[in-house]
Amino acid sequence: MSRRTKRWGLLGLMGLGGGLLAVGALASGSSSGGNGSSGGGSGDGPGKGGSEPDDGGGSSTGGDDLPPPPEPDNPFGDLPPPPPPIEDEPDPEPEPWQPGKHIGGAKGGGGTTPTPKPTQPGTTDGPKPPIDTPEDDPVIPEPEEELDPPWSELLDPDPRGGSFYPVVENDRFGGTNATYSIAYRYLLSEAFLAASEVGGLDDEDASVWALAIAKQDKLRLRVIDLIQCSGWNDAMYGAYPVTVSHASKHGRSILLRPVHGPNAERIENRWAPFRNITMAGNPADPSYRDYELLWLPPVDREVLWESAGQVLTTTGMEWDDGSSMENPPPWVMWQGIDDLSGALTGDFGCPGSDGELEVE
Amino acid sequence: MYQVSLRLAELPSQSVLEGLLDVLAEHNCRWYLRQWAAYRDPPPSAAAAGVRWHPDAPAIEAVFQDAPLVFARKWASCGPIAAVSVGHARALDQIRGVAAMRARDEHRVVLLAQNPLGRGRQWHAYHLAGHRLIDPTERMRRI
Repeated sequence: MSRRTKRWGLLGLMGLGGGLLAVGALASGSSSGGNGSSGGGSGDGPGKGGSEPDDGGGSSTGGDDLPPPPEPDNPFGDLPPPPPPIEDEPDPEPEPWQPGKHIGGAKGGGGTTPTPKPTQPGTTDGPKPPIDTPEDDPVIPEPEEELDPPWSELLDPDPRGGSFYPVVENDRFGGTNATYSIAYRYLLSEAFLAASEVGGLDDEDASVWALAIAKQDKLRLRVIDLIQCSGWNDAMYGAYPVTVSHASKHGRSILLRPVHGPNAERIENRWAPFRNITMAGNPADPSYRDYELLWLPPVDREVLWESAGQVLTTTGMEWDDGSSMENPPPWVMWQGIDDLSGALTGDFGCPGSDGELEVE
Repeated sequence: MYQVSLRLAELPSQSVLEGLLDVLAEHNCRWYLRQWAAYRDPPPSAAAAGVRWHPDAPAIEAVFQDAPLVFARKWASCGPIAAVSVGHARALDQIRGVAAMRARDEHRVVLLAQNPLGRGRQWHAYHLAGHRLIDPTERMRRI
């Protein structure tokens, strides 16, 4: 049980409304990422009220070895005070809920404990007494927190702004391959929507306009920067560039290699995704073989149209909590990011960008 | 100090104006670098120099001023103001070790239509820093 707990905090530098986005990593010493220990993450992040004593009584620890009760006139005597009814772990001071305090244990997420559901700041959910639900009683499911936008709307096998794109084999950032070029397909999609929704063109004209935009090398390069400059993408996948990759302003690239965990599955199940790639581009745990799950930030389509397709900007593209859409929606950010690589430290995202993150 | 004028037979297009403002921004960048090399500390922006923003109407004539002229005149339109902002940002990047070409690509003056549906297009100049669109006149006093 000699686990070393390491906490990470992702602090959005810009436009995060001051919210502390914590990223948890429960690094099990240097013990190989990922295996086993799992039971562990134990979700015991001090949930809201987690440090509150549970007056439900329950089995106090070590009942057999308890010291005898003190004399009435000498309440404490020489004996140590009796242990409180239930205390899982001494917690020096109550903290707000910290998401993602676990690490990917076994593959497929099976070895980890799901992240405790976050309590939204500002809600009235306080500590609540435990509710005993005998097995005979009908179990009333907890109302699901509303995820906005829901996962079903976030995952898209076609690259478009404001969605997660699961990279597949043979994908590349550049080029004009209509099947595999991520930047090209992204531009086609965004420019088409800008032309039809903002410019009012019919489908055929919008396609022609979008094609003219997507064929411009410089614009595709800006799309690559847009993706690589997202703090979340960079924290998950950023690595030192290789010969064929384009390094963004922070000096890192996303290499499009199958060395990552099943992060889509984990996010869908509301577990923290984890980083498995070292800065050198190698897998921390080589048994993970998934490609990247990229967040594709949306751009302002009105500006894209008005600038004749020359300006890709995320300015003004914000989630309801004021955080930048250069990063995934707040409920995904709340899950945090776990780390197997040891590389999840420092600043991520391009310096000066709205999606820049600081990992504490 | 120079004042460069452009006289056309018709309203200049967006790309023509952006091209001119890019040249002006590059000139401002070098001016900033020269100032810093001489241990001078010029204002980092038109707003910091107390310059007022004077929106200009669509016209066949575009008049642009470089940074020292903008600072001296104390007023300018959005184009030269954005060129000051972009030039300063490019210069800062360069002294931080960013290659000149990259800094030029990272910071650009872009023009966006202010009243796309109205008659007579009017452009407003912005500083595009990466994917962030900055309006350098946002907090400036207007004439």
